[in-house]
Amino acid sequence: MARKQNGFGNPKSLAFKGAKSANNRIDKIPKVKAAGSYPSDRRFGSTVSRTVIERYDAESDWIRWRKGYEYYVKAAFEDLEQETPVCGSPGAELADVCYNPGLPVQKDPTKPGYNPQYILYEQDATLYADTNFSIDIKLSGWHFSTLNSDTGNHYCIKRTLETPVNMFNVTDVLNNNQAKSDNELWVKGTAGPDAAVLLRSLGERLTDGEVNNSNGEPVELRGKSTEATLTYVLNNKQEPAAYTGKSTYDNPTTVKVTVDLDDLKTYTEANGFNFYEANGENLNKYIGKIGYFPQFYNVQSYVFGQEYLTFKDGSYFFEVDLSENVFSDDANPRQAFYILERETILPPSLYDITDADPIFATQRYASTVEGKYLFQKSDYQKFFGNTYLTAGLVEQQINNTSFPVLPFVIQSVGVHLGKVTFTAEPFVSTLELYDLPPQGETGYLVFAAYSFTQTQLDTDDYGDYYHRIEGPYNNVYEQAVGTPEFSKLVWYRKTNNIDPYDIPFVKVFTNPTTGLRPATIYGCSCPSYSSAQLRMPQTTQGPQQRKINRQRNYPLPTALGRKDYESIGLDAAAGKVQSWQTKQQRASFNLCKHSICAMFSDHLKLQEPNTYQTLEAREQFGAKLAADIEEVGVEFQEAYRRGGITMLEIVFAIGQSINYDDVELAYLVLNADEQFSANIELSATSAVAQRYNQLL
Amino acid sequence: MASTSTNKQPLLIDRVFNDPVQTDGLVSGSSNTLTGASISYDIAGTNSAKVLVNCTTNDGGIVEDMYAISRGAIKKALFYLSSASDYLRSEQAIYIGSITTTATVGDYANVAALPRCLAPVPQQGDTTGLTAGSPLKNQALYIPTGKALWVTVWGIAGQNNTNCPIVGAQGGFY
Repeated sequence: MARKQNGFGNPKSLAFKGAKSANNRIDKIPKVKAAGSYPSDRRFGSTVSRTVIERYDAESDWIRWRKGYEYYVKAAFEDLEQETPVCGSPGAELADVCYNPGLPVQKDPTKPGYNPQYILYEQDATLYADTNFSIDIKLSGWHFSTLNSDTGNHYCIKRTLETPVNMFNVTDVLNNNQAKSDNELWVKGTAGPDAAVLLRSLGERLTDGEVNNSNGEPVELRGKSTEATLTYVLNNKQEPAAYTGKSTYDNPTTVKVTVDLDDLKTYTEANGFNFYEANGENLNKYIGKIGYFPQFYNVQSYVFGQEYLTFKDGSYFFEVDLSENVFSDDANPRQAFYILERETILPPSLYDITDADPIFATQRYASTVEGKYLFQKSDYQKFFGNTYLTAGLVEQQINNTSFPVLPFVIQSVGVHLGKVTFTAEPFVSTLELYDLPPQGETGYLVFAAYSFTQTQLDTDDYGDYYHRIEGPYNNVYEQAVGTPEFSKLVWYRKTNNIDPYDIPFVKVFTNPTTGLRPATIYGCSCPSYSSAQLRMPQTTQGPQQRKINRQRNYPLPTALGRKDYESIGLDAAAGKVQSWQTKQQRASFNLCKHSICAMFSDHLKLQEPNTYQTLEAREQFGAKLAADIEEVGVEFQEAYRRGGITMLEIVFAIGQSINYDDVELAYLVLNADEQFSANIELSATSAVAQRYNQLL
Repeated sequence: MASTSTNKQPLLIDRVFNDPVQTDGLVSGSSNTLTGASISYDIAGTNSAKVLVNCTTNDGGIVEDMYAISRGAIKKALFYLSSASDYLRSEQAIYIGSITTTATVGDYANVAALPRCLAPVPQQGDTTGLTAGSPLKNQALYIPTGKALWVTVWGIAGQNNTNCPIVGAQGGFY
């Protein structure tokens, strides 16, 4: 029972929060603390709870925009460069340009004596390599100094499409109430010539722009292009046309390849080198090398009842067992099997692997790929209404399968009766099931309603171009179709936060004749963009300083981390990366100050967002921004010193820009470090290692 | 538990329900042309069903009658108890009875058999056929907390697109 107090009791109990002070002095009022809950002891399981306003302030896109803009105008970034191979070295044979140390450096290619020591980082890569729907892409980048990464750098990677692609022709944008309540927008249309890519593009940003119209002008010049994140592809019955399953840790995917010992003995490289003989006929020397099938994505047609897939139904998941045996010989050759030296600092799936020189290649082999894959029913059930989704239903629907066999590390080698079997380290991977539509068939695409952006020429309301005309042109329209030197200087404006359900309706996908294709992406390795933290054991504090947060230094899944199924894949890379990215974040138009700055640098102006902070936060932000820019110089010193420590950040940024899913991204992250360490010991004679040289 | 649920006799209910549903398009997943030993009413996989009475999150209920009104086709409405109320899964669904409708539109059919329940019969009725000393018992279907009563129609996709009956259940929640 509470004790009765005389009068009003203790006068302190009547004080306002924040007005309490030592000795009850009211002339010295301590600073009011944040309204939210910020536990000082940030142990595993402790949770930071922000108030609504604090959350709004912290998540404001405007902050990122403002910082990105400031980085751009203050030039607080650098283009990503790589060392030019030295003339006469093996790497120079593959490169377009080489560096002669005996001559003076000349960076300008238009001037005589062009002799660059460093060139802009531009890397060709291929998505879905060696399939009939492969897409050539080009990667380039920027780097920014930071204290929040091991290397002192965050990398922003731009991915552009080199191959013109038409995946889908939009005929109708649907105003569907159910879709609206699910935060989705459905469009109806017909499958384009590259619909096979469309089914592999879930989570990809698609655009109806970045292409010229029939007049040879970019569609953004006099109109608008729309960009959004694809979340589902539906067939003409409005049922999913693509299902993605993940293998589990209990049953990872295994790969075995059996080849003739005689083929190993006789295989010689172009320069006459025989790996088998050179290593004293020791088969164990192949352990740790990279086994590789050129088709990362094994695409196969599927007819109901075929034996290589076994469907099993469950209450909330269904399981598909994969057991694929491939036999290839001279009479019936399939894709070749290669063994590669670990030659580059990048994992093989990130560059054009056809440049690599194999230590073994054959078309006579037998291979087995086995795995069990789980499919989460709740991801697809909503498209079936009352009908309960079962494995049987999917089995009858699909006509195509795809499973990636990414380059694998050889774990063991066995020999029996003249046959050598290479076994891969078991790995977690994905299996995709497709209901591939024939070209011209009606289908539906589902886009995340919160992911829409539109791009147009940067003009005012009256259509007057905001910027100076560059080059020998009279107006911006001439400049835009002029030589690349000047056309790339035309400023376009991207507007994000387009709500397609706004009234009056914003018209989206207004270019019906151009088709849809993957949009240019500016991916970044920073936590703000990726909602993921890469490991950073020793950046924010030196060895003499106290580590305030071990988890930040060595990220492991947190109490607020993702659920089991979602985290399959990235869990395997615990310790190197942890992610708190939700499905909604993944499907959003992701931004960070670095990617915004990179867009500005590319003459793509992101419209100033309207999520302006509250006044108090805005005032604090001004001071913080000034300090942030002040520090950039010092941070760059650190970034230069640490730049070569690891490739983790850049690999992660590239993976983000290629739209790798969690499983593939984890695979990259896991391999990146190992690959990098191996590369340090490389001999200087490796052409491929020099072709993909040290990135700065 | 509803505040009035305490110390209640088995048939004293808190509030009544009567939920008829239209069953066009519902299928149990096994063909309605099967005969003899091949006949199966079990949920085997893909099906389409509706919830009649949902007691997964309340105090349970009692069904005094289940009925079907024909819309012009001979159909067999199948009833299941399941622990889930979102979809009828084979692992969770137990078949508990059926009603067959006639081809005459508007024909009313009731469930033929329900379990006998604890509530006493207030007055002796027709005792023809009962052996001497047999107690007379009421019949009703309890739906315990955590279960839902589902209905579907015997058949596979395409067999029940039209003219399927209206099916309902009447009773009360505890």
